Amino acid sequence: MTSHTANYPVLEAVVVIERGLSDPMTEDWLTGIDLLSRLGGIPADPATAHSQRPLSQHIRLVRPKLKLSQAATWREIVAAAGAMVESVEASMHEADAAGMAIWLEADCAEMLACSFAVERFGGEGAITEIFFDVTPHAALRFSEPFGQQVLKRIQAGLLGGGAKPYFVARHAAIDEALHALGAPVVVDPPFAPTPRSAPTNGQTPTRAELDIQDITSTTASGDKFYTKLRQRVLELMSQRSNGPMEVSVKGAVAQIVRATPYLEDLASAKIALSLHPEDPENQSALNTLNASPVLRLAFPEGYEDGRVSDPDITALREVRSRSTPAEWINFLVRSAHDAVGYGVKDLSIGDRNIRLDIR
Amino acid sequence: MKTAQEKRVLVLDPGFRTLTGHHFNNNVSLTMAGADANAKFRILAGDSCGSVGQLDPFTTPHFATDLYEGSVQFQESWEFDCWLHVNTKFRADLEAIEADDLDWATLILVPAITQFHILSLARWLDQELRKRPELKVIIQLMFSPTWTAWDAVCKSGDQMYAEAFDILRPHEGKRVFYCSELAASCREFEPMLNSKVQVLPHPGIWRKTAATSTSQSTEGAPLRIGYFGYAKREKGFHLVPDVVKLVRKRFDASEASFFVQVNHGAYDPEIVAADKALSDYSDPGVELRVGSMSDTEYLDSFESADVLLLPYDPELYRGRGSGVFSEAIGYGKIVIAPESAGVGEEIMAGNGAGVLFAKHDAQSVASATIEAILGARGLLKTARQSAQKWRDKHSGEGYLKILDGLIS
Repeated sequence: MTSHTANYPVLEAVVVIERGLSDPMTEDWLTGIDLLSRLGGIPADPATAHSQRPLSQHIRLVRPKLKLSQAATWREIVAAAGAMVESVEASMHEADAAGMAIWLEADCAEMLACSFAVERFGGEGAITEIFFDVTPHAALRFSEPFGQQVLKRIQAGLLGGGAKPYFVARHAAIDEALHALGAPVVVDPPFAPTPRSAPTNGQTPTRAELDIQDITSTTASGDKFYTKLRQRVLELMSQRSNGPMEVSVKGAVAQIVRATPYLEDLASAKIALSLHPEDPENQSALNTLNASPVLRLAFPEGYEDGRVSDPDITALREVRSRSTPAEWINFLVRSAHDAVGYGVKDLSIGDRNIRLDIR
Repeated sequence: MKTAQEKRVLVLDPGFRTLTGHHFNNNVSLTMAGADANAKFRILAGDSCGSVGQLDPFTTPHFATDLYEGSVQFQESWEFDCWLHVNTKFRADLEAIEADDLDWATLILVPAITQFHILSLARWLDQELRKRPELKVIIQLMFSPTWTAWDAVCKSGDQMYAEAFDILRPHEGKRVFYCSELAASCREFEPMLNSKVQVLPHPGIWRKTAATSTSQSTEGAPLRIGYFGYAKREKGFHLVPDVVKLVRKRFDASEASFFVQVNHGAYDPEIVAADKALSDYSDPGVELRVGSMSDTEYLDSFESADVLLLPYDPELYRGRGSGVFSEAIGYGKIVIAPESAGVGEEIMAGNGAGVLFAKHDAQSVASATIEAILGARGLLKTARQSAQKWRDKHSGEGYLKILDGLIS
């Protein structure tokens, strides 16, 4: 799935373009700081970095005249790109001097505007590489027939202007979506998924559901499963914005395990997991999920109060007390095969807090 | 002053550029029928349109953008490039239409449009409809969303159409009416629209000669099989040499002869190869006519045929109508057509006579042709019985009648 890993040179100057960087509370800002700290030694402490003057030497803000909704039509996207060309062109001239541009959280209109701009002043040829940090929503839109044409035009336009485009995938779903479209995808260490929690700022998490069982039941081949799963994860990610989100995943454990790289794309989401004990892959499945640096398993709604009414809970606690974490999970799975109906929660296994629902 | 019943029709026809062809025929047919239907016409044609004979009083060269235009800036993104280029250019053409023409018109008729033009048309129409509350519009959806003039398959055509339809949604079914030539092509567009797409047959000009004046009526003459029209892969021209050879294995020149129009732009190697194969094939029963023909020569040749080969690729041709097909039915010919395309559907619906092929290859087309030759007597009888009804429907009068029903 991963195409290749890029090794960024440490550059004297890099132009980073992002319309949202004026707000230091956004995830974009944090990503920008993170990236710049790797590239040019900018202090990485997000609490102070936004006030650091050196940052301004590296960042060029682009503010589109038209703020697009996620439901924007292609005609609106192309029109927005057209409206942005002039301001983007100025930034591209700066990038030309730097030799390289990185566009954080790039959406379709911004990438197209960038391509138009380079086409317009193309020929100077000093800018050799442009890295687009593609948003989940843009990856989703590129999968549409018209979107594929736009993606190809972006690539062709930039190459025509002497700039090689790379599409940076920070998530597995984006990586695979773009890779399937033949775009040069970079999965870059600075952008690799990190188990960083999205700041909640006291916000109530948005709740969403990802029904993998439904995907499984409507598809015959693994390819289709991944295609549909990728599509749904991208949809969820594009809804996520910068706020916290809780995603409830429904499906057989074997399917959830297959989906793990995609679920990790929802890194800041809590994963509410429903196990299906009849599935023979449960045992290894749990271990796989547990090994994920990103997933945090949680009960589905309705199990929050911690009270379990099952009469055998005492026996279960005894088993738990004399088991290693691995033995405990094995026991749970075996038990679940035998008797549906156990409810267990708030397990402490090693240094992890895992919340499980077996029913 | 406008009277209540009078229709003043402004025809936007960027594909109308010559004194021959279907655009010309349609416009002649309409203007001739207009006198009896209290309809007057102004036609805005392509800007390269010279003298068009009897249509000169009605016609103004206007559109710089051709209906069959494309523009490829980058090979990889040709669909997007065409969409952007053609829409931009076409919008300028539309904006340049004189206010006098628009003030005069009660109805705008767009007899053909493509996925590359329709966004600018929709934007412009929306603007004009808001300014002119009495104005109504008929848009004839002539081409499938996948169609191109250069045999490529456009994959994003559906989205191009859908976004344009979206702009005109407030007027749809009230002041903007969508039509298409065949039932199958109507069905292609209906999922994108809230309203039904009406069948509106393209009007033809029909010779008054009887539909029975075929070579078959001459006792002992070979059955004549014709291929007419612009030679493209979507029209299966590349299959014709093998079809001829396969049919010839079954019937000699005294039983079946061929007339093949060879008219292409020499840009497709497969078509050029087929042209060469036909030229190299020495057979006294195969007559080739290279290049375009005048209307008279075309109709003379057409009328001499008994069976019309329409080896169209159903994947490319889809629900679209065909001038050659329409003429074949109107002149009582047997057609060889694809089963899974709009033209085949018309035969299955009993609107003409022919033999259909399921698979798009030379063997299947040849087998259908052989079957048609063997059953020619009965098929020709059926074909001739259907001809007049088809002509009535595909006439200027028939067209205006349907149009009246739509906008009233």
